[in-house]
Amino acid sequence: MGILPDLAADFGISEAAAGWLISGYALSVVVGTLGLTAAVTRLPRKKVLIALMVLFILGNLISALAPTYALMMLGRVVAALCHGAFFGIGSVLAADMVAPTKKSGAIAIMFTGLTVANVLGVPFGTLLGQNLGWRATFWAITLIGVIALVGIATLVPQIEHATDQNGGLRGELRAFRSGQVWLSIAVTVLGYGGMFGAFTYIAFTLTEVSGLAASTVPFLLILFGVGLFIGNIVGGKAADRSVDTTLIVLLAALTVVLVFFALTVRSQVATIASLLLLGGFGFATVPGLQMRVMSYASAAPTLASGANIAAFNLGNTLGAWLGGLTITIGLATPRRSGPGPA
Amino acid sequence: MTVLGLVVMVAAARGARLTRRRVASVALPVTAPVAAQVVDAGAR
Repeated sequence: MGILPDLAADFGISEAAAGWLISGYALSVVVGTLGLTAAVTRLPRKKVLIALMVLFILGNLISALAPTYALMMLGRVVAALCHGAFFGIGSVLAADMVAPTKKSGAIAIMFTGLTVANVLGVPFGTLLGQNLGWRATFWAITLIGVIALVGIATLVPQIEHATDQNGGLRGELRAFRSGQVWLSIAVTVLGYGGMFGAFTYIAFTLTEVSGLAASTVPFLLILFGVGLFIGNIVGGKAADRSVDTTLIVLLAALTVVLVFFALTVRSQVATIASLLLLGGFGFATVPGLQMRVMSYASAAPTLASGANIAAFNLGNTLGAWLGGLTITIGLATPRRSGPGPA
Repeated sequence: MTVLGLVVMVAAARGARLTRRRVASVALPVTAPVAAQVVDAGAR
């Protein structure tokens, strides 16, 4: 998100077209998650994670070298294909590595890793992009991918998984007979998508609507990440008590935060507060949403877990698309510096 | 989108409560069983 303005300027594309690099990625996650997870349910999970990480490295390498917008998009798509399957299989593997009473905790720890990556990755990626160019950000991601690959190969144990006992792919698909699995996925798409619609264009909003300096964006994204980190921990603990009540309260609170953000976006202080709350309430929903799907598909959770990761990204795509649409048709709050919408 | 998510979540929570009372079919949307049948048909 933070390097989107630089990318748009470098490739000579509009803000909405640059936004498609994010929503195109998210859409590819959806396709990749369902297709790849279904294809690898019988394969050893550790080997699958290694193969997926190689694909991720390749995609980011293409993005780092991309001379055109089309090749940039190709790199994003290749990297995205493995994203959902990686987190879907990873969360099930994390649960398999511990005693049955500690499975939720293991899943929460995996998502804590994801939140730390957001806390550090998004702002420092932005900082790197602003100072050394956006390609440096993708080179850094490629390097991190290589480190992650070595980490998986050396540290993740080889665990025999129970998918075969559940009937393989057929057993995994059987979990989708539950209406609650579908409803949980729908909540993920809609609830998370609303937050992401605002977040996709956050760099533009902060600088061109709220009037904050571009140099402050990485630090404001750290603030968003702090909210996200706290939200994940608090949301996970609350979901352990009652998943449904937690999700209802959090989604209601997130709605209030989004309305507050829209109404006070001209105020820099209120915008900073909104950013913290947006990260906090937005990501507090994630452990509960993932736990809800996996609990209703407990007999064969791999594909359902992956499908929920796909649902997060489908929500991202729809949210970013709707956000871009409001910019295109002029419904968004006007820029400070010019007549066009932001 | 988030408001819609909240509405679906409230419906899902209500459906889950009704399921526990063995009348889940009253609350579940029409699309859920249809979608489940489609997926099941795909599995076969």
